[in-house]
Amino acid sequence: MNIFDLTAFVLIGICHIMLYLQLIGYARFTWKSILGFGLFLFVFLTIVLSATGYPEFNLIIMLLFLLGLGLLKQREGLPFAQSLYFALASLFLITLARMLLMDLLFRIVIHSSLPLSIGIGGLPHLIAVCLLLLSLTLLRKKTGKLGRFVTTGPLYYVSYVLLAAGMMALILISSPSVGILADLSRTYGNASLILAILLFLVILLFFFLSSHLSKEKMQLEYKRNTDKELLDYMEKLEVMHEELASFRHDYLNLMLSLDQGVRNRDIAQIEQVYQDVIKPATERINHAEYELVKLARIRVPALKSILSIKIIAAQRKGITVLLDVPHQVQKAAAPLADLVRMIAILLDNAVEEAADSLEKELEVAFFEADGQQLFIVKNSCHQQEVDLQAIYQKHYTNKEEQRGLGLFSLKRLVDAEPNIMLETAFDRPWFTQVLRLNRAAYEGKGTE
Amino acid sequence: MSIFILEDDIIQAEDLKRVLGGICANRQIPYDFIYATAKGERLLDKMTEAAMNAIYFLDVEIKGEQHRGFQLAQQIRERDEQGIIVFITTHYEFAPISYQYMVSALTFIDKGLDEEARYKSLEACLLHYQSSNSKSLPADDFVMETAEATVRLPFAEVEYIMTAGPHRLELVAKNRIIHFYGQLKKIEQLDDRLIRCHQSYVVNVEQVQAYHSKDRQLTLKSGTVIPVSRRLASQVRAAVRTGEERGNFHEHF
Repeated sequence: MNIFDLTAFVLIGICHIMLYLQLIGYARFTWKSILGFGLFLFVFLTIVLSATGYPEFNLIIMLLFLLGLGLLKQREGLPFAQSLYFALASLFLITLARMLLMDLLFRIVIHSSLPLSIGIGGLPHLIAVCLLLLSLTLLRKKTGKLGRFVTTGPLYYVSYVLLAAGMMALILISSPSVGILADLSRTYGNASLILAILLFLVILLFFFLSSHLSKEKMQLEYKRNTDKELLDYMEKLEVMHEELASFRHDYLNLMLSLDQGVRNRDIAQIEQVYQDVIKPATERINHAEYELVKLARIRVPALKSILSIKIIAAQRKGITVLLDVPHQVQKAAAPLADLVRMIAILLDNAVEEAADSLEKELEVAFFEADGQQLFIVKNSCHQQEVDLQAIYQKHYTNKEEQRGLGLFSLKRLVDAEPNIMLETAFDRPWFTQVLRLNRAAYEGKGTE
Repeated sequence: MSIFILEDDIIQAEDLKRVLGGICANRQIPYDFIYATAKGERLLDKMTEAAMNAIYFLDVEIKGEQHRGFQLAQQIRERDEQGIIVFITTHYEFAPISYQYMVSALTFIDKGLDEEARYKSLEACLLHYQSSNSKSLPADDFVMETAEATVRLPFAEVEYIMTAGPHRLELVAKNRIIHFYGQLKKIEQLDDRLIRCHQSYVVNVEQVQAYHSKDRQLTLKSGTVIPVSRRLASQVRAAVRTGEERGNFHEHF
C-alpha cells in the first residue's frame, strides 16, 4: 500500500458517507465532520480487518456505520427499512462504480502510450475515487431529489431485492474467508462479478426510471391539490351564498311585517320589527361577511383557502373572529406546504381553545413589518395558567390526543426552517402565538 | 414627562385630559403638560417642544379617516423611538393587532369601558410610563440579530436561554417563550449578565434567586430550577458571589 492507496481508502469512505447522507436528506454535517467520519471509518476498518483477517467485515462494518448515521434522521421520521435501503444503495453503487472506473482507467493506461508504471502504483485507484467524489459533489442536488422520489416510486421493492442480491454478490467478490462464503466464492466468484455489474446497470436504470416516474406523480399530485383548493374555495362561496339566501328569506318576511305596520300606522309594531329582526341581522352581516372579505388581500391561494376554511369553522362554533390583513400579501416567506400546515395547526388549536372559553374570541393577523412576515393568532382561553414549554412536548394533551401532537409537529416544522421564529405568550385570558418569517433569509436561500 | 392626546371629539378630549390629570395627581406622577388636539400635524409640531419619551393617547379613527391615528403613530415612531403609544378606540374592530406590532404600541383602550375600568387601564398606562421613564436610561433590551432571526425584548424579562435542538434555541421569559435559530455560544457573548451554567443553558444572572451547590442547581426568581454542570460550577459560584455583593441573591450550601 502506498500513499495513493491510503488516500483513496479514506476518500472512498467519505464517498459512501456522502452519498448516504444525500440520499436520506440529512444536510446538517459540515465538511469537517464528514472528513472526520471518513478518517475514523478508515482507521477503524484497518484495525478490524488486520486484526480479524475477514475481508467480509469491510462491507458489514460500513453498512452498520451508515445505519448508525441514519439514526439521526430516524428521529425525524425516516423508517428503518428506507435507511437500510439507502445504506445498501450507497455501498453497492459506490463500490461498483469504483471498480468499473478503476478497470476503465487501467485499460486506458495499457492501450495508450503512457508508461505502464502509472497504471500499477495505486494512482488509477486514487483518480477513480477523486472522480467519484467530484461527481457526487456536483450531483448532490440530484441525488437528494432521487432519495426523496425513489422510495415512493413503483420500483422501490423490486430494487430493494436487487440491492440485497447485489450486496451478496459483493461479499462473494471480496474473497471472504468464512467457511461457507469462501466455498461459495470459489465456485461462483466470477459469476457474481458479472452479476454485480449487471445488477449495477439495472439498478442505475431503475433509479433513473423511478425518479422520472415520481416527478410525474408529483406533478399530478400538485394538480390534484390545486383542484382541491379550488373545491374548498367553491364550498366556501356556497356557504356564503346559503347565508345570503337565508338572509333574503328573513328580509322578505320582515318586509311583509313592516309593510303591515306601515299600512296600519302602527309605530309599535314597526319598532318591534326593527328591534327583533333588523338590528341583529345588520350585526350578523356586518361581522361575519366583512371579515372574510379581507382575505382578498392575500394573494396566495393556498393560504387564502386554509384561512377561509378555518375561519368559517370558527364562526360556526360561535366564535367572534377578527381578521387583520392590512396590506396585500403576495407570497409566503416559507415553503408553502409547511406554512399551510403550520397555520392549520395554529388555527385548529386556537379555535378549539376559544370555543371552550368565556369570551369566545379569536384574532388572526397576517402582515409584514421590518422585513418580517408575521402571522399572529390570539385566542381567549379558559385556563388560568399555561405551561408554555410543556404544550410543545410530544405527549402533552389537554383533552384529546390530537391536540398535543399538533403543537409538537408545529414545533418540528418551525425547527426545520432557520428563518422561522415562534413566539408563544400567555396573558390571561389571551393566548398568543406569533410566527415570524424572516423574508431576506428565506429569499436569499431560494436564489442560492 | 409629557402627555399627548389625539381626539376629535372635544368633550371626550377634555374628559380624558381631566382623568389623566387626576391620575397623575393621585399617584404623584410629575408631568410637564397634557396636550390635546384633533389635528395630527399640531401634535407633531408640539412634539418639538417636548422632551423625548412622551406618552401618546391616540384615537384610531378621526373624522371618517379610519387610519389617521395609526398613520400618526407611525410618524411619531420616526421621531420618538422610545415613546409610549396607546390607541383609544370605540370598537375593537378598529383596533387590529397588526397596528400594535407595527408601531410597538403599548395597548388599546376601549372607549366603551365603564368609568372604573377605563380609569384602571389609563392608570396602568401612566404607571408603566413612569417606571420606564424613571430609569432614564436608554432602553435595556436583549437584542439578538442574525441573518435568520431578530429577537428583541426587555432584558429584565429574560430568564434563560436553552438549546432545543440542533441550531435551535428557546428563550424563556416572563409569560412567554420564543423559539428561534441560533447558537448558545453567540448568546453568551451578548451581555455580561448572561452566563453559561450548563452545556445547554445560558442564564440571566439578574434572575437568579439562589444557587444550591449540593445538587448543582440554580433556582430562579420565577421558581424555575436550572441545572449547573460540574465544569462550570466554579464560574457560576463566582457570578453568584458578585451578585451577592450587589445583594441580588444567596448561596445555599
